[in-house]
Amino acid sequence: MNTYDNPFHDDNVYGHAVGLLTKNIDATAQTSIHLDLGCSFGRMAEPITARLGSKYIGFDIDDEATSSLRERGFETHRIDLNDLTAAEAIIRSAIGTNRVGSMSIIDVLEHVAYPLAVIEMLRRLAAAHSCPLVVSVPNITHRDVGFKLAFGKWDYTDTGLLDRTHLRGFTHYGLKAMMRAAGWHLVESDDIQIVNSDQHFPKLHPALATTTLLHEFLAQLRDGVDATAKTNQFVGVYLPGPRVQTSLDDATADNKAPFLSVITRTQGRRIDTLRDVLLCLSAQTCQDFEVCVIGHKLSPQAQLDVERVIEDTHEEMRARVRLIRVEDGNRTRPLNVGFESARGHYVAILDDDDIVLGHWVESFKVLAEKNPGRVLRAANMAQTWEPVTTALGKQSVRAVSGMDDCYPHTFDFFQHLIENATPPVSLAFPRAAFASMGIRFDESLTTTEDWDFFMRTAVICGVASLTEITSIYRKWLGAESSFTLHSQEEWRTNHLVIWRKLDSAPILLESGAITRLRHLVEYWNRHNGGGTGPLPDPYNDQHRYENALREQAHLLRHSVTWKIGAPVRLISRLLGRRYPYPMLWAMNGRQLEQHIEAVRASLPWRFAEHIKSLLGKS
Amino acid sequence: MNTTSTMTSIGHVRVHSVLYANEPDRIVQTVAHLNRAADLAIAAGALASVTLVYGDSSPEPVFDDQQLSEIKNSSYALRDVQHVDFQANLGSAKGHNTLLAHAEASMTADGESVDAVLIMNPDVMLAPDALIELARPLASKHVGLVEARQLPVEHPKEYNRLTGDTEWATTACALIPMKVLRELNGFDSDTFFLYCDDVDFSWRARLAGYRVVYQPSAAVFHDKRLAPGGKWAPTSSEQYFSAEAAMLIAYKYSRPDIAERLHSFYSKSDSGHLRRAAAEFDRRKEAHRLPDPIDPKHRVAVFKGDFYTKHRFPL
Repeated sequence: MNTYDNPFHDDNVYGHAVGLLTKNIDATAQTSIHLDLGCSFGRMAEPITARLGSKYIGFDIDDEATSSLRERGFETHRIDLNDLTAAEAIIRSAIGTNRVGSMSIIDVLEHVAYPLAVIEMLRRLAAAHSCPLVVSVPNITHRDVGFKLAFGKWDYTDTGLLDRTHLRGFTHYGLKAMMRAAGWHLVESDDIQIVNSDQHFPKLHPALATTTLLHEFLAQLRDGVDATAKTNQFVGVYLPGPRVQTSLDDATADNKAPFLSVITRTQGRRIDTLRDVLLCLSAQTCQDFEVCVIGHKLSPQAQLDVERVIEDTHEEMRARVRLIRVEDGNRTRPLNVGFESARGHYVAILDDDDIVLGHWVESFKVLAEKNPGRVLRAANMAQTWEPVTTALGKQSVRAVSGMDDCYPHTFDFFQHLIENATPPVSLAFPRAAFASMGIRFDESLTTTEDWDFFMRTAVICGVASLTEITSIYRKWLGAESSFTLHSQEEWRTNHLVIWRKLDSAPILLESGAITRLRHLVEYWNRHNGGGTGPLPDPYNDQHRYENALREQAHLLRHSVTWKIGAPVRLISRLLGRRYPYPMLWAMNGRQLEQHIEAVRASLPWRFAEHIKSLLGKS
Repeated sequence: MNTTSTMTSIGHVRVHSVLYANEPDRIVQTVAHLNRAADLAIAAGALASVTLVYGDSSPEPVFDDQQLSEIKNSSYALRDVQHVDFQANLGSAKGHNTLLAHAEASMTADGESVDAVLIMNPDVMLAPDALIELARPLASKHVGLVEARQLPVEHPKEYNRLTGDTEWATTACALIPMKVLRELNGFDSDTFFLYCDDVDFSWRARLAGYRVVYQPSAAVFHDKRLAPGGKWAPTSSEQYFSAEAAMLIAYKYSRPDIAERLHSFYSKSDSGHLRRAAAEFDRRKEAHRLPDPIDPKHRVAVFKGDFYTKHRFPL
């Protein structure tokens, strides 16, 4: 472990640490002591004494560093944090009968083999004093480190984020879990933010240089995950409390998760169709799913009704259904709450008025096995329904139209840029896109929130399509729906917002997208006076290539050169040569190439070219 | 469950279902739905008790004794679960008639009272309140059949939005009072094998003065799939048996013109299944095995294109 002598500044780690302590110690208590573990040269000693009014005691293994403190009049003790039994005894002896007002352990935990044991020891010391602990560790997930690592670079340095002497790297979540496991609970944080860290080299690495497309792409994704992309050091103040173990580590939770989490939004106004939805689910051929019924702004009666419908399902089904109440937000809020609560590998939205066929879950599962991590999309039909209540029955619904095959059977990214053509019920999203990438439903949107989320997930994960019909999107006659609740102006406004969002950052495109884009640009050029460009690719674009050759052959026959060659063809005809119009429509690429080549090599053509060159027209 | 305190119990219900090479796991899932629906219906006072009886037309029985025992043990709300091995493929009409005879026998032998029979396809799963909703219209003695609404694909035939009356009921899931079954002598198994036995039963019920009621609030899941374009895609055997049944029911309900037109069409069809159906009709005719025509004044029988009533939408 190196020993560092960094000066105190209000805007460095020491300054942030003292600032946090100043705000979080018991200012009414009697004089107390501050314990600084791994104090090094103790550059916080003077500010702590001055600002907290505490007696500072430093602990470190490095005698040279602690001698500096002693020379400045502070008490120090030598401890080795790799021998915690001895270290704890020394610290307890130093405390004696004093009251511990605060503790700090700054840039130390990354240097010890068992940091959890160290903070557990500090938790034991704090038990009798209820004092705060300020902790600082470097952020190993700073974007400079992460972006380089993605491309195979991991550069140790003498100091900094990847100090050669570090034994342990910390992430935001890892630090939080470790601290909670030891019984330390974060009260306030004041992290050190550095846009270009000491790992920002080579400066023009495409992943690091801030104006490259790659950096923009990575940066917008990383910023979506959490707020720590530019955090250089985590600096937080913690208070002792109960030890909280994270129930499952990510790998175990992953193995225990159901395949699918079904999110069903309900306001409790369509109890009959909610019952239909739960029946469609309990009847699935694949039961590897859970259901999160998100009750949005339920009235007391509506909540009872929804609870009753869930309770009415059979035992095995009931065990898989959770009712989660959401009291705030618009219709988008329940989706975020639902996705947050979901435990499945995939998450699907099945609102309380749609219908799924018996193999809805099974089809998604089969598709996911072949396309892990992609957004899953199955074919869907729309059908119009209306409410009905007969004299002998309760309120229900009835279909009033046949199946409307109005949605494309497979996903087309470019068509979906214009408008949504995929009902949410036909999609399943990889939960990790939400949980790990931070892609959220935009709660500022009051309509088409599903389209926005779908497209933002699709540009990261891609989409796997299944042409099998597995769901029915219900349109309603004479009943409330999102189409009746929101004005055309509102729909239009949201549409524009989504367009702008899609245009605000670089995206990924599927293989083959460039051919599609080229076609679109060629088509636009053709209709706007632009050139047709070079011949299409004969392998990737065979059909277009052959058509271009047909056009070329046709133009040859109607060219000035062809006309100039007429006298030579006449003489040739008199000599028995024939020039029939070729069956261009029946010729393949090779035949067309040969035909064009033959025309250009023919005597009449060469004669005409010669005449044109004499006239200076070639 | 929103139950009304005024519900009148329709008594003991037997659930009849005919198996043919079904997946046992799917049947277990079906029974779990029925068990819960029975539990709630009994608690609501809509029924007194429920017995489930499977008739098995499969080449090999769908369940062994162990599986049947497990089903019984997990179905706490069912009075009994029975399995009758037909040892032959009896089809729908004869299969249900055999189960009805079994019911009569059990009434004689055990003194069991059977008040109504739920005819149900083995792959139909009931909504928790389906039995309550199916039982509700039987408070009227004029109701001869109550049909459930099927999910995910609702049957397109029309019904009266106010009364629920419909011209015929599918027996994918329909509740029928035992006295009506007795009065009509069950299904016409001499004429119908797999299809149209329910159309025929419904029309005979109406000829006898009973109402046939569609109950949209009684939802059941019947695992239907949609072909590309959202169309129903019949299998080859479905094509054969529905074609055969279409000619026979037209003939039985005094529409020989329709039977002849269908026969002519099927005879010239490119489809071998349809030509076989036409040939079978010929054989019956030669053997004098065609049914005696009824409803000469067309009081109940309706033929609209390929359908037996007006349809709300194409499917």
